[in-house]
Amino acid sequence: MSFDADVAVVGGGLGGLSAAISAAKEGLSVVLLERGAYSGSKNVSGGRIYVHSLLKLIPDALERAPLERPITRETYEVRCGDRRVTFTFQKRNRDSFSVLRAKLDDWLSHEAEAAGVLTSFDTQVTGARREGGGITVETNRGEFKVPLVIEADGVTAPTSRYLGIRRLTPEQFMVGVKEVVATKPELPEDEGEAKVVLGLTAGLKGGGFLYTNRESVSIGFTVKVESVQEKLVKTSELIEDYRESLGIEGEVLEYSAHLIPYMGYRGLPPLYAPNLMVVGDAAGMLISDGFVIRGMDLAIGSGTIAGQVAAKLREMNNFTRTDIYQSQLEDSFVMRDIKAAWKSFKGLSNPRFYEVYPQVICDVLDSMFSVGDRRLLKVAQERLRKEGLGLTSLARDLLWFT
Amino acid sequence: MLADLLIHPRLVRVEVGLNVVVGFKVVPDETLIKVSSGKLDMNVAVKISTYDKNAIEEAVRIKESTGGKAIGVTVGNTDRKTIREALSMGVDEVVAISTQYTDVLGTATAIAEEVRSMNPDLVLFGETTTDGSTSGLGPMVAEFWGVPVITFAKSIKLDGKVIRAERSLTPVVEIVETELPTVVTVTGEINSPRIPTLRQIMESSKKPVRTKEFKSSPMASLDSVEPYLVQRKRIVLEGKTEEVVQKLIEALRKEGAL
Ligand SMILES: Cc1cc2nc3c(=O)[nH]c(=O)nc-3n(C[C@H](O)[C@H](O)[C@H](O)COP(=O)(O)OP(=O)(O)OC[C@H]3O[C@@H](n4cnc5c(N)ncnc54)[C@H](O)[C@@H]3O)c2cc1C
Repeated sequence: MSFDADVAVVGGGLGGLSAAISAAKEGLSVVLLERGAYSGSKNVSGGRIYVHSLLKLIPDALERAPLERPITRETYEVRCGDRRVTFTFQKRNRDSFSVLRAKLDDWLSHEAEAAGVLTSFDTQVTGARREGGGITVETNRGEFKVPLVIEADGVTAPTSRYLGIRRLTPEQFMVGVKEVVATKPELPEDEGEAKVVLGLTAGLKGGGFLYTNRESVSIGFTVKVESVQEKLVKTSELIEDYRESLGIEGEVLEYSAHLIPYMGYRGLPPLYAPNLMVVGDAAGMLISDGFVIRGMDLAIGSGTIAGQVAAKLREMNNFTRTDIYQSQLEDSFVMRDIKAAWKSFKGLSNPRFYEVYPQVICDVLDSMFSVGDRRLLKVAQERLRKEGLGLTSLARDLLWFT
Repeated sequence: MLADLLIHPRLVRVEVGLNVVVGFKVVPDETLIKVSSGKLDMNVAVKISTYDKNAIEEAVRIKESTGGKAIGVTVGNTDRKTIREALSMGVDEVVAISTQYTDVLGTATAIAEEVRSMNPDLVLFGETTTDGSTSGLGPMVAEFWGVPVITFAKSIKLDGKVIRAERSLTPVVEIVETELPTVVTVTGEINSPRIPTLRQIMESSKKPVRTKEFKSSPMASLDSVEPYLVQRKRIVLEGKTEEVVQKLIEALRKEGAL
């Protein structure tokens, strides 16, 4: 059986590009197939990347990657009607940055080219089948035979579905809605803010976010698919309300809605099959606890590992032993962090976080700052009792996150 | 076969493979350029300028039908992925000439230099680029090289060393004829550029790309690029279709559009 290349990577987002770069660095011949006209054309993200895994792949990325601002301010904001509670934690650091995916992904695709990856854009994978000891990938540019496929085709995992190892159900997803608005943040050039906003996406399960870029801000929120279905609301209207409530004015440069995997450690789909490794969103690798969304660093991390395992498999001349990928993942930050986030992931399903607590916090502080009873705990307790809750259930709910 | 040829030498036309040079430009994808706060964001993904793809397609077809060679020349941005696209469409090799900002005269000088040294039968360009839109490159190269030029060709036919082209000049079509070597600029009607297969893309990575530097001091300088914004009138006519149509006609008359 003769093959067209050692590895085909399906999808040219951060996961696919990282896999391709890491495999090419190991000397494999890699072809990357991306349906968009360029990398980043189809990728949506609120844009805060924790750069640790990118730095492992490209050590001087901080100097060269198109990063917007380091996130030096973490702000939490609870809204209840016209009242709000805000606190900001400041620390100079270069652990995470705001990014615009159209730029970041495009840049990484040039890194991939430079590493020897053959990228093919406007190339949509339309099918995949097992044949002659490998996988034949069907595309709008003809067929392609490889002994190994790295699947990085995003949240709907088409390749896994073509190969019959995956079925999708609505509970597995959240909807992420995002806008980029042209407005220059009032911050020093070398500082950036990440904001979590609770209580603005009325009645929907999920929080909102805001990241400051150089010359714009990314705003958005995530909601469960069911909540959009149940409440019969249009995400485009929700984000407009959200923008207005945040008081942001400026030209909307980009609007997008995208599915986000919502599975948690226990619900992860198959991460490998003979001749196949699945990375990033396609493998459900996402951490979202209502406060942060992390998928980019996991996509880069899992992609990098898949590329290294690809080299190992070629050395072994056995492309069916992709189970090695799973065990390497388990030993890495990817699975460790997903596992650790499992609890807060369950916390996220707790409607109290979006419906009851913001109101309680505002009410308690309200009475703290008005003339009257100023004993915090007592006021809190009374207020919670009204919701049929005690301090213990509050503590228990909060512990989900620790 | 050979015997046949010897006996009936005049029945068989022995085509000599034609060598075609095709110029193409790497330009910002105009569909991605955005205007924000009155400024243009030109820092977007690049592509082969639209009609240059038609020129490449035509060059490859001529090469395939005559068994010759097609050589690409590009000046300016030498993005390798974009160059590979030309190669995967069937161009045999590419000369990639990088420059700082240059005007069309500079580009023409650089290409004419290459063309003179390659001495091809035919040089093809797109009718115009989607960024500079001068339509001047083809005629300038022809002038420097000292050969005839045919612009706006919507079809070309080759018969030995004779080339016949239909020039698309709205509202007429002009048919012209000349002898090779010549320079031709083509319109989008001439063909539909092929979409290379994955295997052709793989092959393309083995084809040669010769890189060069070209220095010129532009005769014309580019001062600024500003967005051309069309303000909408934002007039909404409401009512029954018959009435609204009448109102629309009146409104258009008032604007001088009718
Ligand atoms: C609103 C929102 C906000 C987010 N915010 C953050 C954040 O702040 N921080 C963070 O770390 N993460 C965030 N994420 C998550 C993050 O965007 C994803 O986890 C990450 O992009 C996953 O990368 P990936 O490469 O696996 O998939 P993707 O980036 O989705 O890439 C998949 C690629 O595959 C291509 N593709 C799909 N099907 C095919 C096919 N059939 N043939 C060829 N190509 C195909 C697509 O075009 C796409 O380019 C956010 C997500 C959303 C939706």
